[in-house]
Amino acid sequence: MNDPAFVVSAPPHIHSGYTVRRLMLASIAAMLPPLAAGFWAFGPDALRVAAIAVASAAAWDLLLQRIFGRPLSIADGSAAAYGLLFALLLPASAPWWLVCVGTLVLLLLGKHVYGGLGCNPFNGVLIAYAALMLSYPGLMQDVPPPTAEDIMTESAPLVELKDKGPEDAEAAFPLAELWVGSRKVTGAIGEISPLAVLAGGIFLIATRTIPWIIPAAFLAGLAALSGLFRLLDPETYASPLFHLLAGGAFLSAFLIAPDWPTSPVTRAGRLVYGLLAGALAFAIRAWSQWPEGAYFAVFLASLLTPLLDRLRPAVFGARFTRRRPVRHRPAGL
Amino acid sequence: MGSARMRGGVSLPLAFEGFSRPFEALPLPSRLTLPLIQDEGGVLEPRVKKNETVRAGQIIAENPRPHMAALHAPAAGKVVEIVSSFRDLRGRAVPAVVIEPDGTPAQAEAPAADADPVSSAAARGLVDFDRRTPPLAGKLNDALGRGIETLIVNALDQEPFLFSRGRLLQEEGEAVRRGIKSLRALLSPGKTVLVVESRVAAVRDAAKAAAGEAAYVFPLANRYPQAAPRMIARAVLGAEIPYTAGVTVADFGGLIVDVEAAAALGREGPLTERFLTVSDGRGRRHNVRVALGTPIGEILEHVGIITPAAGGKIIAGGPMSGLAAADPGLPVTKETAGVFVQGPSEVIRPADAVCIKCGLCVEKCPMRLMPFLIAGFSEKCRFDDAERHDLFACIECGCCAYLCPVGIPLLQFIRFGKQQILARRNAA
Ligand code: SF4
Ligand code: SF4
Repeated sequence: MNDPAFVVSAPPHIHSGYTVRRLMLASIAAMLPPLAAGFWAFGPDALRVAAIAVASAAAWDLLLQRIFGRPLSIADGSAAAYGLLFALLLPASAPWWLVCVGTLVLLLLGKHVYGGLGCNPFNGVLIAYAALMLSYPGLMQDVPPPTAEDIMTESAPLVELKDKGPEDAEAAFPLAELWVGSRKVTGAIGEISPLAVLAGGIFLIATRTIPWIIPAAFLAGLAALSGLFRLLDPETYASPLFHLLAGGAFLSAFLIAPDWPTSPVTRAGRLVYGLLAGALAFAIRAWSQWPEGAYFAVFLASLLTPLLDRLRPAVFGARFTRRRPVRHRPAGL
Repeated sequence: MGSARMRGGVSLPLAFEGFSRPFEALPLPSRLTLPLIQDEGGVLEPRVKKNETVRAGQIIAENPRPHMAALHAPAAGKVVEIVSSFRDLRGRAVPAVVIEPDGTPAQAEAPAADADPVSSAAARGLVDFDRRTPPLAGKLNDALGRGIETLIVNALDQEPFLFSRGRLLQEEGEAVRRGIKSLRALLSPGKTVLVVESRVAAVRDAAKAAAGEAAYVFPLANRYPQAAPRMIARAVLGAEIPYTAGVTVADFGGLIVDVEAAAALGREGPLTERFLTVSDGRGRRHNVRVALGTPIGEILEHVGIITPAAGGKIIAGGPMSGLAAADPGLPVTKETAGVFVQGPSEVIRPADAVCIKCGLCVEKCPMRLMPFLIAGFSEKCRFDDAERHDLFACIECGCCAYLCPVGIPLLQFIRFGKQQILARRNAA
């Protein structure tokens, strides 16, 4: 009597239409404003780096999928999204081969050796960034000078902070210029305009692509710790606003830290993760040899993700096991 | 009355016009097939023989245990066959009685009116139309034994794709009113609430009329799965009922009865029909009143929804929680909550890809579980780990799989895990 032509499978029988592809396309869309800010500051070079990064990431992805014998999934847009994100961490002057080496590391160590997207314990973008930072620190930090005429310094804000101290750095970079992204500030392509990153980030939150709690906690952690030390010792430490707006704080908070596979899934876990990454960003900036610590901070925090995932909510009813007294009556009537 | 709205779940589109579609009474089919099984009561024993003539409402099968639900002939006719092994919706092989209606109006005499209400509910075959359909007699008996504070009559449809409960309030308000009255007379609860969809004025008004002085109307926006008993209890009683074995709403002083059961109680005679919403993925929806035993395919034909081609799906229930039927010949039973039809292009295919840990399923699980974890453990047959992460707390709402961007069939894995664990336990 059974007709095998009908599909019999478990519920639910409908789907929301949310797909990985949609998540990736939303991420790419969110990265366009910071890329545009980079273009405004550095001209076509910014687009050159972005194009090489996206194209090479896609090419490596195809090649590695072949080598590892995985089904081709280039259409999900993940290689393009991660490639573009990586480009935002690079200086506009990065030579083409550096970009390609970076995307190879990104796709290999951040995806394929672990079995594909989702199986990677570490954020590929950050692995690639760290690998290049350690191998080619000169090229990675050698950002092109700002293009405006009347600039006060040629170095990036956090480098200025490291070299000359908070007073000079804050004088050289008025907050308004750090915020909107002007031609008087330099840095990596995506670091130019926190405002543009924020616009992308709001889009991601509004489309439910990322949870709001991670960026909020990141910025709060950074602001809290830098604010504390500023209060204790204003001579040595820059103001929290400077820390928030200089370098890659916004980029880390909105585009890097919320990386799905490597960030926690629960609310509490995400909160701790964000706070920790933000606090670490300040610590690395203040007390290590690296001027910019935001990216390393996210990487370090993500190492704790498996642990933070244990901060799970109490299961429904778990807190209500004590029974309310009920009115008892004899059985029957 | 404090209202604790549900946390999590998903907003599904609600097609308001579904509530304004009157029930179409379906003509009797040429054959009624009645599987002799009650969802939460086991297999029934037949009380008729082959070639016997039955009257409408006559008991054709019974469960010898007390507080169960009998099964009645929906129409007068002849028992043409007693199949010994009929594959029902859940794939179980059960006996079934096949009746050919003869069109005569022969009615069985109603059971004595003065019988005690619990055994009369059993004799009339009443059940509670939840996702599980426990016999009403058992529920009432339990409630009587423990005493209840709050009687909750649930008129929220199980899913926003079903409208029959909201429609029933409008058309059968009088029966609902009488049903509530007899429930109150039996249980004398401290208070009675009638939970309804808050967004539809006609439904709210009908609820007010049906509730009268006897019940408070409790409007709730039907965000899925708000109609699940635990979510209803949370909203009305302000208490979360843990999933610990044996703990039920009754431990919190409540009893939940759905509105179709209340209406059946308020009407005379045995339960031989169901009120269903029949719809397809393209926006066609009909409310029908149909005799038990009618093949699903005939309902589709009657309302003009085309039985899907090969590769399509027929779902008994709604698209979020219903069961896929292998065959349009399967009959409507007391467990059928609705019919939903999908064409081949609308059938979703689960992906064979890994979780990217986006956390959506965790965020939206109304039971606050970690669906990706328990599904992952179940898939890998790590059942102890799955249980340690509260696998059995899952109410099988399907929100997780509905949302998963990767398209992982999370609920399928979860159900697999539960089945395996229970099977092992039974074997041990
Ligand atoms: S795990 Fe269970 S209760 Fe939670 S969303 Fe999935 S199906 Fe619903
Ligand atoms: S929704 Fe899917 S991809 Fe996201 S965490 Fe849950 S199982 Fe993983």
